[in-house]
Amino acid sequence: MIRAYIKAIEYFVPPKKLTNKDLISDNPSWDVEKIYDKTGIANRYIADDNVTAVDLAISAGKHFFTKHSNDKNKIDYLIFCTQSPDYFLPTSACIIQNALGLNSNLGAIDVNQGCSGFVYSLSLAKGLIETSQATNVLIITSETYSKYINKKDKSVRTLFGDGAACSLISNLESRNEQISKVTHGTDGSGADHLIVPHGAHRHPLDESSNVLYEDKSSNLRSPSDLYMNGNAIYTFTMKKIPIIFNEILESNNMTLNDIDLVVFHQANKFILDTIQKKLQIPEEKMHRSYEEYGNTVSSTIPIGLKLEMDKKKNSAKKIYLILGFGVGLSWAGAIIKL
Amino acid sequence: MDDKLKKILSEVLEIDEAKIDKSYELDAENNWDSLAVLSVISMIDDEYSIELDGDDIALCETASELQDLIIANS
Repeated sequence: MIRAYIKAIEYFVPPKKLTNKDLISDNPSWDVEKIYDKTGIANRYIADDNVTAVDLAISAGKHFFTKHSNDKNKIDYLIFCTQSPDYFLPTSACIIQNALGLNSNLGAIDVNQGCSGFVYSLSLAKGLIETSQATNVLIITSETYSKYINKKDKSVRTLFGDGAACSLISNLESRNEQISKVTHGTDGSGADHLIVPHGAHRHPLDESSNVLYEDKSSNLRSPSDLYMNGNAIYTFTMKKIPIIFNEILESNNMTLNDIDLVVFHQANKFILDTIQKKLQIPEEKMHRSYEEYGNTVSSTIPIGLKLEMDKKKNSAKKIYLILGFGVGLSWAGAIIKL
Repeated sequence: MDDKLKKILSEVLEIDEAKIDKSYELDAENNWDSLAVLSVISMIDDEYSIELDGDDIALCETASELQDLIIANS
């Protein structure tokens, strides 16, 4: 049978690094040591004002093809996952097809998902390949949440970093699945817990969009900035994600013992510690890369997988459980061999 | 007031347990911020096995209101 599998991943982060020291110099009242203790994040990479998520995606794609040049002409589908497009229209994936010089006989779509976006894109790629509609699907995830973030809002500025990842999903003949059936989930009742309220058609930008307000924790933001209800997102994660994790294992007739490594969406240390404790996942099975990159939204999982692939000392495949969750609210998880 | 809750608040708010009583105010002056709320959700879950909603905790203005919330969800 034709099976989809992850053939290669590369990633790109912009050169400008935002350290915890930089955060204090901008905001002397922030207790950055305490923030580091909780979030575990030391650095984030931030795109320059004139660099967009599409630019980062193109950089990630170019980097990918310098390392895997033979694959370029084989790409017959491009999935671009972002919530920071260049335009309302056209589709960003079309712009990226041209910029990367990809074949014109390929399918190209944008997927608007955040922290669950890589796994959602992976399930689409698997569907396309295993029904023989495509043979080599390029998934590019890219975000520049920094452009939505008010510099005086520690509830989000401390967490999010910009970045892009480029993953090639290819095909092979095998009796065994390389990417399991993906478990998806949605709870739109939490849509306003992680949101940029103004700027699109529900609330077009007007004179109220840049009016700053201060929250109880002295954070400043306006309605055109990113807002996160951290309490609600944390509660959702704590209650829902352990259940989903076990559902993924059960639907694959597996237990935690069968999993070599768990790559959660790298939200931050506090959230990962909570899930780890609830599920009693041994530390050696937990992937952690938030410290260097922060929360890069849809790119945390492919970056995590790439870092783990680079650590491997031999070519034997490992079994990973991947699970993305967040804005939407939305979640998706699967088991992959890599 | 429940000793377990006193211990949680003293740890999160970095204050001597003896100073915490029912009327202890949960406000910004006493280090009660969004990170404190998150820590309290997690520690109440550990100590009482109750998953409280962060938004409900954030609405508590005193230690006794938090105590009542725990009792109501026990």
